[in-house]
Amino acid sequence: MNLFNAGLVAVFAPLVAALLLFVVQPIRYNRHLAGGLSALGALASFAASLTLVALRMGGDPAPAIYESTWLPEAGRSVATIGMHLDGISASMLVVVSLVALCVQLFSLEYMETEPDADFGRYFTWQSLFLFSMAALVVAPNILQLFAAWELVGLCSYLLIGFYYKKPSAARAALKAFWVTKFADLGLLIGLLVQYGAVGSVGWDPATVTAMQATGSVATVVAALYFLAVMGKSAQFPLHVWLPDAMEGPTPVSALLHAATMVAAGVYLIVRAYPIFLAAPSVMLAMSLIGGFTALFAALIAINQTDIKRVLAYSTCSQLGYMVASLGAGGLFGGYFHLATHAFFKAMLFLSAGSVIHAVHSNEISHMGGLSRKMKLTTFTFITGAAALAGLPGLAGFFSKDQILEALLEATEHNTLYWAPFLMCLATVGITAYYMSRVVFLVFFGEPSEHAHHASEGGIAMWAPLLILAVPSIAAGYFGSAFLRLTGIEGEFHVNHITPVGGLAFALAFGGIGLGYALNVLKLGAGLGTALKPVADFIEYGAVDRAWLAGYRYGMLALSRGFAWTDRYIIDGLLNAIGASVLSIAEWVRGLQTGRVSDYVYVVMIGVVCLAAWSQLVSLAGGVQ
Amino acid sequence: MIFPILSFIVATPALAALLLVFLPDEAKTAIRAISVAASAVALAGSIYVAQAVMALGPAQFHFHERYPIIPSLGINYIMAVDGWGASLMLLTGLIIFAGSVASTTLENRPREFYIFLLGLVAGVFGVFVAQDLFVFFLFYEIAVLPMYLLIGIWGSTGKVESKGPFAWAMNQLDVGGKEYAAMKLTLVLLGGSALILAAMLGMYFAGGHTFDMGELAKASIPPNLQWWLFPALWIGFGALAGLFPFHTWSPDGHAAAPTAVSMLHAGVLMKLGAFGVLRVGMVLLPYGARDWAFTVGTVAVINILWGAMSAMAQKDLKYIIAYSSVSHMGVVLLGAATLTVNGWNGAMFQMFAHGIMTGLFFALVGLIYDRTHDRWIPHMGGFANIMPFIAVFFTIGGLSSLGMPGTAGFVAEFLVFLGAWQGPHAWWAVPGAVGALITAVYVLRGIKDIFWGAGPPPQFAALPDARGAERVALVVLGTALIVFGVWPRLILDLIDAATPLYLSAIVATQAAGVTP
Repeated sequence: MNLFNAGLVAVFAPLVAALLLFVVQPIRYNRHLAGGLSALGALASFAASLTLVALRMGGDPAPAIYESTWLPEAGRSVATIGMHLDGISASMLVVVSLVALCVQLFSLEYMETEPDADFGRYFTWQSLFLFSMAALVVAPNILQLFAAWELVGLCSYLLIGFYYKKPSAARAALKAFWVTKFADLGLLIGLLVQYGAVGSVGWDPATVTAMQATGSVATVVAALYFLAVMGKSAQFPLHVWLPDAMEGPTPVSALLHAATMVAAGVYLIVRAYPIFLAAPSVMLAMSLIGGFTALFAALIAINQTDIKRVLAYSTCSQLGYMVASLGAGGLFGGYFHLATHAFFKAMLFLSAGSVIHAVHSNEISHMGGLSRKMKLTTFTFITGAAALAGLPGLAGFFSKDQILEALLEATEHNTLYWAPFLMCLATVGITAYYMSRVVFLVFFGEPSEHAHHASEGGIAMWAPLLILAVPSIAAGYFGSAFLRLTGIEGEFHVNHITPVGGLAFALAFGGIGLGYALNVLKLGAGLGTALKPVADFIEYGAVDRAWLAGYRYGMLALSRGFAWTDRYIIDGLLNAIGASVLSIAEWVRGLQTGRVSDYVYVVMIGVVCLAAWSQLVSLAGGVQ
Repeated sequence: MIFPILSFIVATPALAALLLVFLPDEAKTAIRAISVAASAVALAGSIYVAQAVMALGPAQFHFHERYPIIPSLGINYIMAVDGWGASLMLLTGLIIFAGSVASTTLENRPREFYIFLLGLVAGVFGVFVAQDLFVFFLFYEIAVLPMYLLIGIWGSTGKVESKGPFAWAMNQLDVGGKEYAAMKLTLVLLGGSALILAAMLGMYFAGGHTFDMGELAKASIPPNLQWWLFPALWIGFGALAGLFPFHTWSPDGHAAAPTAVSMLHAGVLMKLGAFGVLRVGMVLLPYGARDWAFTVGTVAVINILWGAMSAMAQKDLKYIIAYSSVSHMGVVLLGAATLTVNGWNGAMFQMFAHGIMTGLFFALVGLIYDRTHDRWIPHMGGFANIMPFIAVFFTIGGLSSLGMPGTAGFVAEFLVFLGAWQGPHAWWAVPGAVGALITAVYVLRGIKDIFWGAGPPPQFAALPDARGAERVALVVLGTALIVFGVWPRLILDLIDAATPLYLSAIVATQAAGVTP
């Protein structure tokens, strides 16, 4: 299979599945066909992506671009639609399709209790999502990336709102769409600015050189693109939609809201990196916002009582790492962390799904002692948590180390980078703390009454967990191969512990020790309780409320003003004109009384007036 | 002599209407069959013309027909079609086909209804292919006037409370009634027509006593005269396109109108207004267009935001869609005002995209209203559970309206904003894009309030989903939205080839310096 065909299969196999499911009702309503077709699409996409990687590893390092004009402007092309196949897009396709495949297999059992129609709908959106995400990954320019970006946002909206009968899910879906759509204004306007300035929507060297030559264009464009990234990749203060997005089914949270879709923002930065490099001030802002998000979200995660919300905030936090790294010039670290995080976070979410499936609750307090009943899930969750915390040897350790190294290196030419570096470093310890807290509370200690009858799911549930465990453990050892495949400049050493790595390692262990002390030994139990109101205030009292107030008292109130003015002033004036014409007509009609005497009076008055007038005229003539 | 395909397409609905005059009222099946058949023929003809024009070269005019009407006054019946005309004929064909199929469920006097409907469509087709200003205007009036009767007879009446500084006038006029809505619509549009007529006569006398649009484009109408004529055409045609502040006929008119009439009116008739501004105002009066572009564009931006913000506050389903039309027609006018290739392509494409989208929306609203006899959104909820088919297509329409990539709405808005950014007033693009965001807010909130939630209220629990003919209309329009959104070049290549030629006169004026 050549590159082009492999790319086609990777992108379009899921689309074929989605279209068949969407159009042909009998397929959609047959749960074996629906689930099977969707998983088959994901499997084909995964196989084709692996082929792509194999072809890219051996072949020519230059990207292979296949494109065709999508929008014409006086015969020439404004933008193309097509595929940009290189090491970066091929590796991302593997990540996306593998996680999607695992999630879909898992869903076969997890969603079993749904009615046929909903089951089919679920897999339709799953397939549509995989297509959209693949189209985003292979986009040859920012316009196609933007189009696919909106489509994955649509799938996110549809899947968050999967339980559309539930008001909280409906609200969460709207919130996710609105917040990200608001941020997407940045991408849209950025595209206009870029095209207006240099007549191209690409990120090729010629375009970037032209942007640098036109003064501040690169800075403006990069800043606008970054606004969209903040929405999609849930950076403070646009992260508010992500925790609420947990209203969707857990496998959806694993695929869209942890591993792939939310990483689209990071992927945009990776793709359009030359543009960002040309805007140093935006890079610094990225690093600061990323670092702050990492720390802030980790702090919020400490006190969450819902296992999915802990993971959601941890996703925010890890995305913050990636963004901070990219802002500091750490392209490889940021992108590598995207890949490793996708694997272990998807595994964590699916493990959480397995737990939720067993105890029928998201609340951590309803779990406990599950290690005795669900050994496999305990293993995968702890592995994922350890990878997330950055314990040595696991995938997260290597990628996080790359990030911290990059941030430290950036401090050498700009001391302001100390801020993101320190925030990210502190987050290592906090992450280890909140993950160990979840592990201790969920899998150890005394089981709650909900947890008594918990048991491991079937093969469709545990097999994907095991598949994902492989890269979560081993991905770090393929760092060098990954570096070669993507063609990013950088260094990678598996068996070389840096001072920063050692420090992070110490912090992680400190965090776990603290987690053990506070949650198992119950030392200083009052501390968490005392901090909770503070954290809740920051999150729900301030940030979330500010958005809500902006919507309710800004937009809605304003719209009522507009509608009132439209109805009662603008249309009112038109009505006033109409009514006045009617009134005048009414009055004029009153003159036609039909009584002869009235007419005689008018005639006599007229005669008198005329006589007076002629008299006046002759007098005036006389004076002259 | 070659077959006069354009006159054939215009005449088909007109002849069908004539045929219906002689049918008895009771022959409802025959009436419906004839109407649907006539619109199917018109649609097939439009598809044929579109692909033929594509093959022959959309930059030139094809299928010429020319017969003198009043030679001494220079009035000729001239028909010809290029890429612009062909794309809008295709739109009209799609909408009238879907509209007549959707109206087959109408029980109240279907004969008269179809007579007016088909007459109106003949006018619309005529406008898009007439190349003589006099004939253009004639068709324009044929298209606009049946609306009065269609709303006045088959419309529905709402209630609007009299408030505000002009409450006295509202009390006097029975605001909200269908007769009121029909009257307001007709008077505003006739006022516009008066302005158009005056401007047309000005062009006739200054342009060498001809109504031939090809001749008029070459005639050098003095720039200072153009400065006076252009606003007359802009406001005259613009009134039909929902131009702020002359748009208030639209919400009341569309709310009162029956389904197919709203579909045609918002779907196609409003485009006649925008097409008039572009094809007659801007192309024939390049100096006027250049000098008034800033005003036109700025008012268009107001249109976009005003319509969207007003739509957000509505609770009546039809009013939401009607105000959103005001907003989206602002996008067309904005594209026109940019005087760039992308802007004009976008304006033409938005006419097409919005036409199909609004047609779909009003078809859906009609289906919902037929079932519930209620348009008040707070009374609804959970409809996806009982009418999933309607819910899916409503969502597709909604996504196109908020500019979701993969639907035609995205292509149109993106091109218009791109054109705006390339034009002299780049900032227009920003409120334009914000308008799309506001649309996302009110459209998705509407979808949530109508379709999402646990089960419908008890009084609506037994309502059926879309059936047979109704599904046909929805599928035709919904599929078109997606097909043209995924592969816009099906239409855009037609439009794009013709645009630079139309624009060239304006480009020339830009070199010519300021009007004294």
